Amino acid sequence: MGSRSRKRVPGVMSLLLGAAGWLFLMPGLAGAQGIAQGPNYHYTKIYNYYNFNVISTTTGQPAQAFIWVFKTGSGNVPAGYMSGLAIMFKTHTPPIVCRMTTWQYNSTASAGLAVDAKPGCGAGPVYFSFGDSRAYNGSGYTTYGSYRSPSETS
Amino acid sequence: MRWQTVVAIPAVCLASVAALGLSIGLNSPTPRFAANHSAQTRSQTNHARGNHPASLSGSTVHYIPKVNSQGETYGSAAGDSPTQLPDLIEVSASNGAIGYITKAAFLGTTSQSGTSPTLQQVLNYPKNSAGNLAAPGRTVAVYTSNATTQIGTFTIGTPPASGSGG
Repeated sequence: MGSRSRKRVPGVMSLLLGAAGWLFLMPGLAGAQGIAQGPNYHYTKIYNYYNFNVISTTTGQPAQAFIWVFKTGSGNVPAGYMSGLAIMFKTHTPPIVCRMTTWQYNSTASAGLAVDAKPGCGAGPVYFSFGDSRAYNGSGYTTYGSYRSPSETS
Repeated sequence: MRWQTVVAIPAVCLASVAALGLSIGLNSPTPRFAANHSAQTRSQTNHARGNHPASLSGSTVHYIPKVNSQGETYGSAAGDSPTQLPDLIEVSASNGAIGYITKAAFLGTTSQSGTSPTLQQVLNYPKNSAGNLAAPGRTVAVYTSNATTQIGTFTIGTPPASGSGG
């Protein structure tokens, strides 16, 4: 079988540039945005990825929870290779699931995927985003965890 | 003298790399939707357990589930470990009620626990409004904590086209 290649992961600058680019590209993202404290890098035999959660809030509007999945390095991955499942939690003791998606996959060759749990669960409470991601490994999918986003008030 | 230096430097480097690898491994989050929940290879860290997270900066977060009269656990899915997923997961139902869905409903598993689709199946999924290939949505029952009384429904993803949309 192919050897496990550990491609170079992007540095902090490329991560920030990538995140900033997506923030500008994502429609409807205005107001407060909380991005997870750290991306989670994961490695398959074919491509390497990282994921992170984003919670986006605008005063008076329902919050939006995203999980973003990116391929590291240059180039794209084929359709269906990367996946995300977004879950929006309402901050509570303990936190409550208020919205979640099914697994969503990139439909075309792409370097990134955004999965959005919307509409939100009403304005007012505090929310955070905490999903999972998946990557095609050549024979099936491997699932990876993520770091939860900070909490934001909608 | 000189050979000691030659041996010591690589040894320190190796120890540093090993420590870094261990550190990354321990801090890496675990998926809740893993195909096989019993196959947890990462040892759990021994953080104090409680209903409040010990930290939000990547360390393991636990929420202690409660136990109902049937012996089932119920509580939050926000813990960092799939082994922490309770039997009944707290959700906000479509009608605003707070209740619980089963772990199987949450994970989307039926008879074959945790199986993921093939690439060919994924490529046949319909595109959603965001342009992603999306697994079919489902609407599941929301119960009280004893799992016997249904109090509402909860929609995961986009529900099937039949019936009222949401």
